[in-house]
Amino acid sequence: MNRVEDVMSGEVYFCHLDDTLNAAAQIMWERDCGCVPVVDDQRRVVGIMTDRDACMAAYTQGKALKELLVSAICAREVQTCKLGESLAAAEEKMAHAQIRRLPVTDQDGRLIGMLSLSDLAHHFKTSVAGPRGALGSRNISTVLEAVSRPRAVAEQASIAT
Amino acid sequence: MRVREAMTPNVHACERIGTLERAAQIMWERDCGSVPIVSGARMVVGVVTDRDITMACYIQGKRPSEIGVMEVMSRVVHACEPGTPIEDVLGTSRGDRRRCLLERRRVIHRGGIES
Repeated sequence: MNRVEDVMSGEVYFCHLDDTLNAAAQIMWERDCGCVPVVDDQRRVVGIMTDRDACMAAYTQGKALKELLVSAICAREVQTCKLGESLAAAEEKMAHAQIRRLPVTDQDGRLIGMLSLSDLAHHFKTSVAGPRGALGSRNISTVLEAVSRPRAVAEQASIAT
Repeated sequence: MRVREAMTPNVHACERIGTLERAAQIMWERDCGSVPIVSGARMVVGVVTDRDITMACYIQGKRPSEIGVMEVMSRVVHACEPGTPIEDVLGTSRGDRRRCLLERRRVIHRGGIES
């Protein structure tokens, strides 16, 4: 069975709580990514920052990115997956939390990579098992639908089930 | 299945004379990440995303209220008609993604955009 480390991107980038949003946006610009994990001095994941978070913070506070701190904006409750976890567990987390990317950590919570929905889609498309994979849980379109569902609708569906 | 059955109607748009603050306000209030930019005659002239706003604020070192949407928006807009089959938009039926993604300059669906 494939594990997250077989599919994830091992290219590690991050920012710190005391960085400004300008520093986080610089990483997004240079890495062409929309999501930057926030780590402590031990490189343990303590938050996550998206380009949308930065946009909404600049709008709601009426400030430039250099005037805003990551610590005030980033999400502190971070869904992660651990080294050795199955892809089925990772896609379940993405669908449930409605997120497209998961930081991958070692057993001590230190950042070692990122796993995206695109990584999973590419893997399943090219795997021998085909787009439904050997997971037996969901296929990618189902996960994508769950991730993309408007929050209000998703909450109602969650209550209904 | 046709596009009209799957699309989100009542889309809010930003006037092209607006700033990124106005575009971000629509994204905030409507919980969306992409806003069409229109001229006075409801002609679609571009699209701005939340990422565009963040990157523009970073590159220019300014607040959203200090940057015009015209400076940032994507000017090439791919659109489709309400009657277009979903399969054609997704490019799954003929393998040609752009076949039915027509570049258009007018909002076709009446009520599809309210600015």
